[in-house]
Order: sequence, then C-alpha cells, then structure tokens
Amino acid sequence: MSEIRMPSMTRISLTDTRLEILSLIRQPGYSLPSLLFPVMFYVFFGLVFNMGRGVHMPTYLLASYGTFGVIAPALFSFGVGVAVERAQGWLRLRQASPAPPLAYVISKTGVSLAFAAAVALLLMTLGALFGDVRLERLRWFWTFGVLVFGTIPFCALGLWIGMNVKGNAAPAVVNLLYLPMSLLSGLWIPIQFFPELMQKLAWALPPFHLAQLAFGAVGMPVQAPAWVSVSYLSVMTLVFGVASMRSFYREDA
Amino acid sequence: MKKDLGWLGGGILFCIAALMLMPTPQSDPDATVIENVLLFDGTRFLEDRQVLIQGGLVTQVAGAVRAPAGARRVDGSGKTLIPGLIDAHTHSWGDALSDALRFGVTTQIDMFTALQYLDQARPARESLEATERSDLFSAGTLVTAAGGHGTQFGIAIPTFENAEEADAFVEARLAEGSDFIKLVIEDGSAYGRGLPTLDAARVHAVIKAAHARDVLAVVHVSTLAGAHLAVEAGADGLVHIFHDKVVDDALIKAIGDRDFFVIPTLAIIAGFGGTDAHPISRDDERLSPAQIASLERRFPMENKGALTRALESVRKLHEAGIPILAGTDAPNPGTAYGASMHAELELLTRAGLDTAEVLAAATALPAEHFPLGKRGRIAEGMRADLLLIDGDPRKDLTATASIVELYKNGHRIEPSNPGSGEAATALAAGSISDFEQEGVEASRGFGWQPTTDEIAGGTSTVAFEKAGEGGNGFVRIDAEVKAGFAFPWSGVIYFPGAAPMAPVDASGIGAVRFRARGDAGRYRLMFFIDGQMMPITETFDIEETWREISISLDALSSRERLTGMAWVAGPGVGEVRFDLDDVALEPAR
Repeated sequence: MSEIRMPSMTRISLTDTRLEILSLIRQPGYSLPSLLFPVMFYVFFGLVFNMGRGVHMPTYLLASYGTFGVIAPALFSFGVGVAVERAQGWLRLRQASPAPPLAYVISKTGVSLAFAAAVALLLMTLGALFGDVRLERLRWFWTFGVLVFGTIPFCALGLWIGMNVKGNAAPAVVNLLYLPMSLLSGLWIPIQFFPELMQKLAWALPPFHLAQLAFGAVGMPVQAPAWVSVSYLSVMTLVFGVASMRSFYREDA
Repeated sequence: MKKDLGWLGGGILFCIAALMLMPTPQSDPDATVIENVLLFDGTRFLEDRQVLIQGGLVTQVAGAVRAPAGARRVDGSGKTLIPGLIDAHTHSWGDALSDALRFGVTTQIDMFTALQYLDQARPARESLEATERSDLFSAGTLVTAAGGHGTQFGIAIPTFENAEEADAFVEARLAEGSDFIKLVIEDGSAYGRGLPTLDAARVHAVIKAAHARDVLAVVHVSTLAGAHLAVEAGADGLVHIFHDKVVDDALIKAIGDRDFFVIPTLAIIAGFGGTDAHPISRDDERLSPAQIASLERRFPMENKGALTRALESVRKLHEAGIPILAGTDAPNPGTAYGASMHAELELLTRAGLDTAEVLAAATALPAEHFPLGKRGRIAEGMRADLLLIDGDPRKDLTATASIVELYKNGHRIEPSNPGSGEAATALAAGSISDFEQEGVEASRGFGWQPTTDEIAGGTSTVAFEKAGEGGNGFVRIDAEVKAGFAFPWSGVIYFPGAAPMAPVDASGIGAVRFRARGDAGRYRLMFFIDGQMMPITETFDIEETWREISISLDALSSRERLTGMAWVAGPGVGEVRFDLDDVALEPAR
C-alpha cells in the first residue's frame, strides 16, 4: 500500500461491512440464534410435521418463514445494535471520525443483506432437499431477491428504533415489535385462519406485505396486489430513513 | 479494497451458484392447470381452487398447485369445474356414447343393451386415450320374465322359469360381461295393461345369486308394491322411482340403514304427463337429429299424476337419507342421450335436493355406489373427466349445460357437433323400382337387401329374386319366419341412402305406394329412423291377386332421418311367399 488513497464512501462501506460480518462470525452468540430460529421453525412445521392440506406446505412456509427469518437480522442488528453502540459511545466516535455517517448505515445494511441471503439460501436448500420444493429457475431468483432486498425497509425501521430507544431497552422493544408483528402478519400461522378483523389488521403491518411479495414469488396466491405491498414498503423505508436521519443529527447536536 | 471486492464478488457468485442449483419442476407440456376456479369436487363446493391434470388424471387439487413447467394454464374465474356427469340409467347403443359426451356425460350406466354393442363399446373405459365417447358400464342383458318388459325391443332375451336356475342364469350374465345385474319387476299395472313378470321367488334367487358373486342387483319397478318386493329381496337399488303411489313409511323403514339407492329417472316420468322437461333448447347445436327425434317422441299413454307422485316420493326418500342418483332412461320417448341429464338435474331440484346434492347425484354418488372406479370426484388420482362450465350452478343450475371446456381422460375434447356438413340428402318422390331391369335393382339409393330377425338373435331366413318377364317384372320373396325371437320377421329392406342405414331426408315424402300379391295375410312395412332402435311399423294385407297399396308416412315423428324401409312377414311363424312391384314414393301434400 504505497500510494495514499482518498477515503472513498464505497471503500469505507465495503470494508466496514466485511469487518462487521467478520465480527459477527467471531461472535456466534448473536448470529447463530437468529440464523437457526427460522430454520428450526421451517424444519419443524414445514418438513417434519407437514400438516398442509390443499397447498404444498414446504413451498408456502418457505415464503412465510423466509420472511420471518430475514427481518430478524435487520431489526436486531439495527434496532439493538445501533442502540447498544450508541450507549457505548461508538456512535459518537463514528460521528467524530472523518468516515461519512452514511457509510455506517450502508455497512450495517450490507450485514443485514448478507444475513438475509444466508437465511434464504439455508431455507431454500432445506426445502429443496427435504420438502420437495420445486420452483422455476426465475422464481428461485425472484424469491431470493424479494427476501434479501425485502430487509431494507426493516433496516430503516430498526435504525429508527436504535436511534430512539435506550441501549438496554432496545432488545425488549425489538422483540415486542418483531414477534407479535410476525404472528399478526401470518408468518407463523396462515392468515386465513384468523378472524376477519385480524385479517384486515394485518394489512397495516410491514411483514404482511413482504410475505405477500414472497408468496407471489413462489407462486402462491396472494391477497394484496404487488403494487400495494411495494408501495407500502417503499414509503416505510423513506419515512423511517428520514426520521432516523433527523434523530442522527439531533444526537449530533 | 481488493479484499472487500473479493468478499462481495465471492458472496454474489456463491448465491448465484446456489440458486442455479435449486431444483426446478419437471417439464410437462401436456399438463393443464385450471386456476381461480370454483370447484365442485363431487360432494361440495370449494372456492378459488387450482386443479392440475397430468397423464389423464387429476394429480393435484389445491389453493395453489405445483405445476410442471410448460403446463397449459386455463383461467377458471367466473366458471365452475365439476366432475364429468354420470348418467345412471341409459340404454346405450348407436351413437349413445358420443351423443352423451357432447352434453358433458362422461360415463353411462346402461341398464340393458345388446351384447354385441357391449362387447365393442365397453373396453374403452380402461383407456386414458383421447376419445369423443363416454365410458360405458352395463347390466348387459336384463333379467325378466318370458314375454315380459324388456323383451319388446328386438333383441333376443334369455329367460328362465324356476328360481333354482337363478344361479346359473346370473353366472351366464356375468360371463357375458354384465357389470351388475338388473331385474325387472313389471306387471304393467302402472300402465294399465298386464305383463308377465318375475315372481317373488325368482327375484329373491337372482338377487341372492348376484350378491354371492359380489355384484349389485338393481331393480326396475313402476309400482310401490314392486319396490316393496325389491327391498324385501335385498336389492341394492331401484332404477326408477315407482309412480303409481307415493312412497309409504313402511318402505322407508324396510330400507332402514342399508346401502340402498334410487335412480328416479324423473326425466322419463315427466314424459308420461306430457311435461316437457328439457332445459336444452332444440336449437342447441350439440343435438343430433336423432337426439331431437328422441326428445320429441311421446309415450302412447298419458299419466298426468305420475310426475307429482314421483317427485313427492323422491322428496321423502331423500329426506330419509336414501341416496338419490341421477339417470335419464335415454333414449326412451321424450329423452335423449346426454341432453336429458340436464333436465334430470333440474327435476331433482324440484324434489328438494340442493345444488350440491343434485350434482353429487350425477357424479360422486353413482361412482361410489356402482362402483365405477376413479370416477365421479375431482381429487388426486381420479380420472380427469371434467367439465369447466360457465357460471355458478348454485345460482343457475342450467350452467351445467354451458360447457366451456370438456376433459375426457385428461384430454381437452372439442366434440364435433352433429349435422355439421352431414345433413341428410333429400329423398325425392317418384319410382324406386319397377323391377323391369335385370336383377333386383333400384333406380336410386343403395337398393334392396334381405332382412330378418337374425340381426337381433332370431333364426328366420329369407330368399328373394327377380321374377316375371318382359314388362311384367317383380320381386319374389320367400320368407321363413321362425320362432326364437320375440318379434320375428323376414323380408326385404330398401336402403334409400348411398349406403345401408345412411339417413335421407324424407320430409318431402307423404306415402309409399307399391303393388303386392302373395300368400294372403297381414304383412308389415317397417320404417327405420336414424338413432331409434325400434322401427315404426305399419301393417298391410296381401291377397292372391295384385293389389295397389299406399302407406302414409304420417306415423313417422321425424322423417328427416329415414334409413330404411322393410317389407316383411311376421310376427306369425311360418313359410310365406309374396311379390312386390312398382315401388314408388308419393310427394307430401
């Protein structure tokens, strides 16, 4: 490294992402549970106790547990991670450093995407090997894309939580949001089994919309039109992204 | 930076490689998926289903099936998918199976037909090949008394007199290929005439013999008393509802919890009262001229209360939980293969069955009770005999006849409509034969042929030749009418079409005129109509000297499909000689 290079946003983000991933791998206490939780669910309810009648359950649950699995790293690494780092003063250090603040967000998003990709591939492999899941090639890519990039709105939500909740309260808040929201969005139990009112309520919840896109991707019937879900998730990303920025600069002040 | 890019690139490549390795569904361009469809599976309605058809079978029924790549996708929104209809009471011959399929009847349960027909038509039901014909199950030859109901159709019917012979008799029917046994309890009383019928001892013995061989025994009845006998003897079902009286509590009690069903055949009973029960319009392109003729024929007798009593009985039996199966008795007068099935469904609603019950009566129930193998329901592994119909039959039952797509053995079939391009040629008035040429020649049409009851199992014989000289030619017929068939005949037949039994349109003809002489007595002129098994018969008397005879065609309900005219001796047994000359057709006035 003889030559001196100007700091580049891309370079910083990339390096940051790689290091974050490395640190995750080196602390499996955090990464393993969020990886194994959806996998365990999927194996239990999708492959071992296949109670599905009418629909091919392993395919159906690939979409719903896939959604459940990919939003966890986004919510936790942002929601809990940012809050804890903020409490530790790491965020203040980053703010003081010449590294652009956006790089911090990008690298954390990168980690979430990588995590989501790992969850998605793991579930897909299990489904294909043991659940007889067969999708057309395009649907495999589409499903993967939906699950991986579908985490971005949840990164925005997680960031906002991390910026606004105290470090030790964050895990509780995220869990209180993540688990009920997943249940009410029909990620554990198909929403059709819910009472009418709860089915309507689900339309207000973000995981419902990501799951709808995932169902569409694997070729299952959906309730919400794709444009509704895409609009919902885009607006959500924008709203929480902007709100988080404002919190960030408030923190700064 | 290089390290970072390596990680990124490696990660992306790894994901792509993994996704490329994920398994894809097997490709099957012959598969069909019917999507977004209201499904009637044979028992109940299910909203928004997908049905996958592969290799002649239904392979998946689900909210979302996993279809192979390349499958044809059919949008079923606004439509209903029902199993192919099963007509549980027909007499199948001629074009029965193709006539029925055009109206969505994919299986016929025949209650008596000629064995020759059975042998030729039945094996196809094992196949999953594309076909324009429905599947056939059959009673084969019915079990009746000598001279009783069922012996009048021109087919030789074996009968027996003593109950001890029942075992061998049933064995012989099964050896012939009967899928089940049909008995006739018919003393004619419901029709105001007397008929020889099976006595109670033979009814009991036949049913016992059938059950000993694990086949069903079903019974034709027309009276409540007949039904009581059938139930008492352990029959598995009635193939008509009686119509002399309304069902009594004693019969329902006697049936009790037994496996027992009733095929009311309301479509035929409606005809007794002159009721027209056909939701199928006569303009329907699927109707062949023979089917129209069949629908327009009427029973000679009238029995106005029959339908009311029959409906009331069906209502009570249904309320008592006794399975009701849909059957038409086609092609008896007033009914037609396939078409009358939709009339029967409508009539069953009048007896209080709801839409799902009516459709089950025409699908899952007959398949279960007879049993017909993997038919009558839409479920994984069942034969793909399916109707995609327009609309929701729960709102309008006539939707059953609006068939958008028809699947037989998993193949989408678009049956060619009858009459398209094959309208019968018009038969012109004028001379047919003056017998002045060499041989027995006709000036048009296929010409003259011998005809005897041998085609129906009889043993009569005939010989004929050109006779007479120089301007005085005629045809001489030596007929030997022998016993052996219920209605023996022997004589000559003239085929007006280009081929034997090819129909011609005789609507421009008013009468047949000819000269005849011979052994004095009563002779018959039989008119054969396309699609009707029984010819229409007129009689005439011959004396020793030449006489001119004219016979009107007024008795022919439909002259559009005349296939033959036969001058015959019989049914009196014996040897007779008669001569015919100057056969000509007179125009209708």
